Amino acid sequence: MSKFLRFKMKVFAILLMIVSTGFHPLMANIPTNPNEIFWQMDLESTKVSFKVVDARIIDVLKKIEAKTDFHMAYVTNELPSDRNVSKDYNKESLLKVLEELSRDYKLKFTQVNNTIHVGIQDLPASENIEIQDEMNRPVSGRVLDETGEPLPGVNILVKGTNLVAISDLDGKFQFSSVADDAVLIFSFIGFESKEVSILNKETIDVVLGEDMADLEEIVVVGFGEQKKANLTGSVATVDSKALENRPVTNVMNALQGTAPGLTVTRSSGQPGQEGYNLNIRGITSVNGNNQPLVIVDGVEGDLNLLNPNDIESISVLKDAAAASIFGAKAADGVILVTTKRGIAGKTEVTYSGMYTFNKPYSQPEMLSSYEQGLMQNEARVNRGGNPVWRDEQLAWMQDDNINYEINANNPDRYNYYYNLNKKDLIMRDLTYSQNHNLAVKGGNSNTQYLISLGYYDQNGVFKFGPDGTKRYNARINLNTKFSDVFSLDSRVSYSSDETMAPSRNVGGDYGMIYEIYQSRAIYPVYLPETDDTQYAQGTPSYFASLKDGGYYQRNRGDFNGIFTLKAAVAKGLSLKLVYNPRFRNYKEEQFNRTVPFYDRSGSPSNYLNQVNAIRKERTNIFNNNIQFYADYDWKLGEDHQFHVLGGYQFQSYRYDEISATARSLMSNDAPSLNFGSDPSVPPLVSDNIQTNAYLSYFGRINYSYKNKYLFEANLRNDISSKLAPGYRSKTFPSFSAGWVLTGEDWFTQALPFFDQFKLRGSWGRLGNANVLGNYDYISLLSRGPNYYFNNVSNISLYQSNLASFEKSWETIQSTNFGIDLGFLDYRLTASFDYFVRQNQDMLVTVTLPSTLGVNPSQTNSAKLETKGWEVIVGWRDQIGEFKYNVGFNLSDNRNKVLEYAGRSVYGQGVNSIIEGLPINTIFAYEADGYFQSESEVENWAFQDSRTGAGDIKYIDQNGDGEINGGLFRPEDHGDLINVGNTSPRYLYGANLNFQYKGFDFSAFFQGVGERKMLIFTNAAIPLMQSWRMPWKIQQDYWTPENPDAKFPRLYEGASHNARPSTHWVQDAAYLRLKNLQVGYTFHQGILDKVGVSSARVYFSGQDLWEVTKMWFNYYDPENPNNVSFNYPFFRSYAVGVNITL
Amino acid sequence: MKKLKIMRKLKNITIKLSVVFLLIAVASCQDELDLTPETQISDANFWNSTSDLEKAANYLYSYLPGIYDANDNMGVFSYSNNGANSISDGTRITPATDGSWNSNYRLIRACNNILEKSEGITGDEATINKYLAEARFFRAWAYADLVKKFGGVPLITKTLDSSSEELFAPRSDRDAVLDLIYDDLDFAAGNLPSPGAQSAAEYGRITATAALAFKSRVALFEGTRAKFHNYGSPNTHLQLAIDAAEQVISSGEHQLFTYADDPALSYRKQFHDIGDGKSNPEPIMVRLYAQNASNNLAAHRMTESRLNQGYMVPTRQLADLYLYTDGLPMSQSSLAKPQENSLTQFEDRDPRIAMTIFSKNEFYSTGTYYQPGFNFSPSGYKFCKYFDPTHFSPPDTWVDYQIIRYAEVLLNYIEAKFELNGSVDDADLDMTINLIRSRVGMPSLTNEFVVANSLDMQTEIRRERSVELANEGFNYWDLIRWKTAEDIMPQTIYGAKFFLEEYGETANKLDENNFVIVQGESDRFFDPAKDYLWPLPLQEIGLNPALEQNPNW
Repeated sequence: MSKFLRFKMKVFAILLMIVSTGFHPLMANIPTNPNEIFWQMDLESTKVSFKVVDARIIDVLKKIEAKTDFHMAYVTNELPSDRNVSKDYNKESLLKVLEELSRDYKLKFTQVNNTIHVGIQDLPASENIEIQDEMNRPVSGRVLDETGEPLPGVNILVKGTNLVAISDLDGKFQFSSVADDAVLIFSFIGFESKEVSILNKETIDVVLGEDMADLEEIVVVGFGEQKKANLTGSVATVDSKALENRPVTNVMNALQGTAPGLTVTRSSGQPGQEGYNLNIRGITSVNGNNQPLVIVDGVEGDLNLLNPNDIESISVLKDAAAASIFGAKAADGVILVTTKRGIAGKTEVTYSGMYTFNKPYSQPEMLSSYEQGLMQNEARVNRGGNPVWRDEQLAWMQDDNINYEINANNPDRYNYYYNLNKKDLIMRDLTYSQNHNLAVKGGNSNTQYLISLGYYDQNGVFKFGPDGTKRYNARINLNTKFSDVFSLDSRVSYSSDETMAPSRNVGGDYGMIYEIYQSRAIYPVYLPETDDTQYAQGTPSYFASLKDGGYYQRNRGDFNGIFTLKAAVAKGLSLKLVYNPRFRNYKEEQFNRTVPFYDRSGSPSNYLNQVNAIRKERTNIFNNNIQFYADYDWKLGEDHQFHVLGGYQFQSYRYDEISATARSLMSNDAPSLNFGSDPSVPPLVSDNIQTNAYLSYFGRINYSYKNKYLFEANLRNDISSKLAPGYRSKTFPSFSAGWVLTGEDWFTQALPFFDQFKLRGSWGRLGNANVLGNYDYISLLSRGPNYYFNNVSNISLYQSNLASFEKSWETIQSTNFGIDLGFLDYRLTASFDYFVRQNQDMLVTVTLPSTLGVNPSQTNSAKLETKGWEVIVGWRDQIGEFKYNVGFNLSDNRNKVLEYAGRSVYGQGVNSIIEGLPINTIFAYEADGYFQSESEVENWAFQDSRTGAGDIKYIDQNGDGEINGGLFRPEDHGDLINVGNTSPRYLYGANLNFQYKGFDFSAFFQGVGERKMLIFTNAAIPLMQSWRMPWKIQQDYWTPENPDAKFPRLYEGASHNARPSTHWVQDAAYLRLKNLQVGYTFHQGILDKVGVSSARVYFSGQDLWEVTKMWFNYYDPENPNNVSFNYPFFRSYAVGVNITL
Repeated sequence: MKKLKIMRKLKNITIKLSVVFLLIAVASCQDELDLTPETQISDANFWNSTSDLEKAANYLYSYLPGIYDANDNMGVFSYSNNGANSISDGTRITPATDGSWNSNYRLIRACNNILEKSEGITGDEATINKYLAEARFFRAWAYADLVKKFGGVPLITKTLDSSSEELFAPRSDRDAVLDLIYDDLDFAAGNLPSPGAQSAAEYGRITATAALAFKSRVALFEGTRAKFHNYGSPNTHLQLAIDAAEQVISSGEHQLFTYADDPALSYRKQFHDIGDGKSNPEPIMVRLYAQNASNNLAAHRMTESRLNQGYMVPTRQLADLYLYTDGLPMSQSSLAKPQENSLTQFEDRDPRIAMTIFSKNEFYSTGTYYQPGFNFSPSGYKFCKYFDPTHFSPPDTWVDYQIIRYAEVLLNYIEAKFELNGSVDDADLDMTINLIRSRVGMPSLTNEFVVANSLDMQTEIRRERSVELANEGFNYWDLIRWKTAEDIMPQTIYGAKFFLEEYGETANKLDENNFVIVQGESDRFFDPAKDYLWPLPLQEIGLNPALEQNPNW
């Protein structure tokens, strides 16, 4: 702990040092000439040096424009043309220069952002222009971007004249006298230019669309930004618009299908516990979770807790060249998220709200108790047993008036004959969620801020009980410029969420949903004749769990501060010191409340949680991250551009958990650790501390020749505490290059229809440290179960895993080739990437004979190769006021285990790793329908002593007269065949957007072209276990009259039909309408009257429709392989509004 | 202007200073990389004292079987309400992995680890040897389970690592495994305290008599198996069984349990709370559960969730085995009469039948009395052994599981003696079977009685064992070693006789005598060429090519 304190103090001292000295310029004199010059800080801090003798004022302005980043806006013939200016400035502030020019030449300067508008003092600009037309009139208006934000600094030219106006901070402009039928030309960098006729209009509101294909588009990359045109690595960007107004629980859900090569999956619909999983380009390693590194504003972050509305942009770094600057944690690629920041201008308040109706789907259809009973009888008799139910009992199940009888064997107990649809009893058809966001932003040129607040609330599927989640987000992003050298970018966010769930497992086999779906319909909830006051003996506890069984509560809080102190030390050279303390706390509480179940005697016969217990867990996670790096840009002549980046980074992580459990509480309604009933049994307390740290050095060099030939190299060295001393340091290089053919004259002459033709290639290596435990190299002992000698608890210890000193992280080598294309004025764009990625020393737990007697350690002894490609095509155009774009992306990857210590066992079902085959390959028997007669069984290869007509017929591949897996080895795997693997193939996404006047429409489809999965046979095969009740779909079972049924004959405990076979392999390919949005943006004229600057209302639907190849359709194709019982997914229907004041 | 210059200077200083600071920070960050686990013990810091050794030995106890293992579902005395056991009806297929294979080798490693790591420990030698003896007992325990199921298995006597050649060793032969078992058990018997010398706080730890009793079990198994399956040297093993059992008997440490309040109920009470703890001299090796509701950290639900819900229910095969009070079996006793109701079969019988199988109107749980029926019982019977009505509701039960009890040792002794010599004398019967019989008030078994009634001594010794140890997990293994499984296992499993007025309507199949057919002959299989040994798990054979599968699997 003290180490961390020391470390924090060190960082703080450095920050204080730099900030305190850097602050002084702020206290310098503020110039006073407010009438003539609209003072801006930037002018003061911009230094210019030049010398002019007898120059025209216009030449001086041009000079300033060349020397600074400012754009000078003037009308040439407004300015005096006298050659009367002589000046000599040496590193003088631009403010001073303009002050002098203003005083000496009667000029008026107006700075709007980076544009300095030049006019003649005291006379309105337009009055100096002589236009005699009597039809002249004034015109004014406003320029907005597509989101309704005012656009300042837009150049507005009256066509055919020299008349120019610049829009102000509110986007407003004015001409006092122009021709009645004049045409205005609006232009602004980064936006499409637009011509608008003013005929019959006195005010004009113009919306400029962003020019997406603009080569100036900036892409966020590791430790900086790059022009898209200059990218050489494989980087996909996600438009923040794709994430907006979606009724989704979090960012990850919205990312699905938006970028080629990025896969998003989820495992459950349970609010707050959806189990989202991100993946870039398939499997990197059999270890770990293959999740990309998530970087938010330059430091590691968490997408679970991020407010989707705060996101400005997302970049997905896919190849080693793009990701390697992030080192050993970035082996699975990187997702770079940048949050929105304030912009100088009028304070703007935006509210967006959404109300969503969620409808659960992918649920099984239930059978009545009578239908269950019939199937139970048939299955039991087929097994050679006696029927479970007598006819009389079956009749009672159908009879609403007879629901129970007293158990003759035990008069305290009932036998039940209810018919209860448990799904309808406790699951809703419709749940709701809501989402509110408020953002305020603004600032001046020194300081800009954005403050945002978010609230999200979702109800779960259960009609009562703890089930739902809430999230609160708050963020302040503040940029301050202290001086012409120092500026500070602070991004402080706090998010918290709260998830409530039942105290016991909801999903999974034998969880609550299992009870709802598969327990017998004959059971009531309450004991007969008790007026629903006593839970009935012998019934499953789902109802009692929800209503009275306590709760599970999880609260997470995440405080994240990112403070970037930037020093522009010299031209082209800037230093950045980033300090990021991140503090997360988890608070978990689980209260297992005792609920009695009664029998007829009136005394409790059994209990849910017979011993009640409260568990409280508190976890604090501290992340410290300090980065220091320097950027240097320079040019050699006009053609050679260089960029160098170098720095270091220190990251530390400390997870500190304390958990306490008290049992046998003295009150069933006072869940506190203080109330354990036996004072001699104190609460059970445990702690768990996990730590790790990384120290890294990194560097990058970019070189570009005429923006035609591009080259980039990265080098990163990582040292990690996770490895044994002496094995800790490793260096990872990467290189990439690009050739812009459209920069070559011969190319553009030969193929003029290309606007862009760029070839890219990259090679690099990365470490994969995600797969290591924190102390793998140390041989640790684990606590075994306690044992009770003489009824006193005794501790036991043992070694559960072998340690490995030589263990190192995996090395991921990846090679990437890409082409970027643009045609038809960039209306049509396309990119293609091909990659090969190798995990060269993948950690594997080599399966060893069990005679080892302990879990083997992992060794870096396997090799995995993944190959794949991605293509993305977009088309955007405009027909009159009808603007539209369509986009399509498709990606695929395949993997193969190249080496796996030479040992391979072919198991039935899913094999995680087999040499020479893809990860998660399924070996199964080939099913050939059902046996239709006993004689067919006799004449077929021997399968099982139970096999009879109606059972699945497996093909005897090797003709040895027996159905088995042989030696389960490559040279003899008997009748098992390779039926594919569980990895999804051909992932695609397609979007269609159009806008017409105020209306907008977008549809987003997403899907998977091929995926194999096995279904959970215990649930899929009717009465595979006698206590699992069948579903409606399972009524379609084999009988002589139904020879082509979906399911084999009913047979209790039919494990012979449950062998992994092609019969149970599902093709989980699907196409889904992921999102559909229809919106209307109100006309500006109406809004102005109520003081609103923009307003949009919309409908947004999520997961509305899908088509899948799975025939067992009670599971969603997104469910993981062999899923058992899942909290259902939802279809979401949302209405929302966005208002900007 | 002057001010600006000063500021510029200040800025330069700032930059230089910050670079210096950063370099310091970088240099000192190296230390931050030395992180060690703060909440776990490493192997290197352990193994110093006898108390460390004790904690390591405690872990071995987690491998003891649980009370739910007390059932005969694999054999023919018991059947589950959840359907047939696939070993019992012969429908099991070769598994990919086998829990007992894996967990036995885990236990073996834990034992070997203790034996090796103990070398550096200083402390009282007797104490150290006690824990080493426990380790060797458990190693023998694991190998005995393996050899019983699979035959000869790879013999691992040291801790292996990932590169050890022994991982790919072939199976050792049976005798090599058994030699190790005997050797380990002898060491254990020599270094463990006798129950009388064991402190109360250590109750539940293995004792010297437990090692000997277990040795008699293993040696009897192997001796009879070798004899009836016709291999090896049966007599050597039988003699070992006799010797070991005799040592237990002569130690005087154990006696059959007597329920002082009502000695006639001793057999029943033996398996209730009252039978728990050091005061009961009969249990030799126990699986402990905790004590009561306030000390309930280890509890089971044998009464409610297992026995009441019919996870194991008796069959007619068991019910018909009990003698009549004249000491004669059903086929010969004049007391045997046609069943007229569900209670007839309990009349004039060995009292253990009613202390093993529920009879009508027996106290069941608070306020209720047992009524025969097919609720949670496919046979119409239910077990009352280990059924403690006071733990019916609430269902948590803390009754310990008697893994080895004195009665078994007596039965091991007499059977081994008979199988070795082909006969036993009355003195041997008196010190064994007749002690057991007299506890329940049954007449003695003598050579004269056997001859007079044309009985078969072997059958009677086996009957006594089957009846006394019913549903304690012996039935299947007895059938295997006697080589009678091939005759008995494929037979129809019968349940109670059906009486409409008592049971009400039934959908169950009945035979011509109105006996319930629980599972018909056509659904039961036993292949003598295959089923006397269990299949090795496929994954092990795949991983270790030297490992040979058992015949016909």
